[in-house]
Amino acid sequence: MSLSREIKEVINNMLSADQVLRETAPQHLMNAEEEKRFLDAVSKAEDSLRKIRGMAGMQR
Amino acid sequence: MRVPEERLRAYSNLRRDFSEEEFINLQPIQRGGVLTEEARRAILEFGDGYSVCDWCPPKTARLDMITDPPIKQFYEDLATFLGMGVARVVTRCREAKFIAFKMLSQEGDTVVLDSLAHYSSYIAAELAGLRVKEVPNSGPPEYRIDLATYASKIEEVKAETGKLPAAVLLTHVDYMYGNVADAKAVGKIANDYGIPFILNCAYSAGIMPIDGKELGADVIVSSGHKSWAASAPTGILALSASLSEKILSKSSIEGDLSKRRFAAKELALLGCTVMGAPMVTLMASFPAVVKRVERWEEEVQKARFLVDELERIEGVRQAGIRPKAHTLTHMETEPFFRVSEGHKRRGYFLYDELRSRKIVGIQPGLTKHFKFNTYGLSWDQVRYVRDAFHDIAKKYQLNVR
Repeated sequence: MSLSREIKEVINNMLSADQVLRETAPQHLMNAEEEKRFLDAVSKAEDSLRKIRGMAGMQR
Repeated sequence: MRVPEERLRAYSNLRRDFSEEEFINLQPIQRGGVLTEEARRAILEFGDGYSVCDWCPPKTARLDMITDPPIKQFYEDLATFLGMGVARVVTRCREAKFIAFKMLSQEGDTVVLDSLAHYSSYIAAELAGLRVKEVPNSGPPEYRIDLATYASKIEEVKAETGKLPAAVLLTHVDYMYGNVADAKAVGKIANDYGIPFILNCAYSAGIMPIDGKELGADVIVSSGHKSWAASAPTGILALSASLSEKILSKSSIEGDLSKRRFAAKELALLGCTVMGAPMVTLMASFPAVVKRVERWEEEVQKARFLVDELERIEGVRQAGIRPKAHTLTHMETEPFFRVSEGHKRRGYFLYDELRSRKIVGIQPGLTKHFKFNTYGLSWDQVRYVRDAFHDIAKKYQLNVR
């Protein structure tokens, strides 16, 4: 996967997290399912960020 | 000419004050256009100008022929979803109306339309060189369009001009009261006279089930950014198979020197219409839209719930047909107006109070009456809005029953 594609993965996953915020605005009182969706999305974004750091390092 | 740097700085870091992440937005025209997550992802992928044109077929270089991304298939599915023969995406609902008016009429013809029609219906008719004949509504409190009068208005046009109207237009759901008109009844009248029936579904298609065939519609127009979870500008023009050739007739012009012709281009569409981000948001949201119309009854229940709850504030009353059959709602709120008369912020107090509770979309300055739309809000959010209004009412010593 290209760096650019992986960066889009980060953004896409953060959009998923953001979607939960939209659905629970303005108080963001999440039920268990919403909280899981939120945390899963953030976690996937973090995985992508780790990959990006690795890929960027390889290209130096 | 150079534009000064300080002016250019205004265009960097563009941010919206009222994000959906922070506020509940009740703006009547915005609820149905809130993007799905898929649509926001699609913008990231197809935000560049002509990005959908990577695989435009050279033989028939036309938007509706593109298969990657699947625009061709989308047009077919869109027509099927609306119970129509052919569909096209144009820039706005008003453009779709103009195209239909223009292609179905001759200069000086008349269109019969409801008196709650959006201003753009009138302007589209004007630009197409048409006169309008209005069908009255009952006035307060219901503002109900007198649908049977369509027939007598058609007769009036015939008597006055010696011709039948070029088209009949009905606003399925009006922008002012959110009344849902009986489209099937008007469709029957128009069909009996053999007059093309244009159904303006700006506030209905995309959020509630619409079957053009069942309603007798020859043309359905709608708004992607109003009701299809799409970015602006996106309009929908859906046609019965029988009228599609006439409305989508091809260009026949020829250059006098070059002899160039453009016979593949659909004349009224001026060739290709919506390319790039708005189109892909409409497509990306489509699967969610197909599913969400099945939940329409629950959306109506939320609107009715909020109306009932707001009417617990003594003197507050819903305008338009009762019970609500749509989520766009018009409330008459005399008690809030009385409060505004003694408030230092005058009519803006209600907006301020709501905004401080993270609710926006009620027009600033209005207290005597206002509109809102609950479409797409969760039950928790609807109850939050209810609590906020009750809280404000109590703060200003209004009686909440």
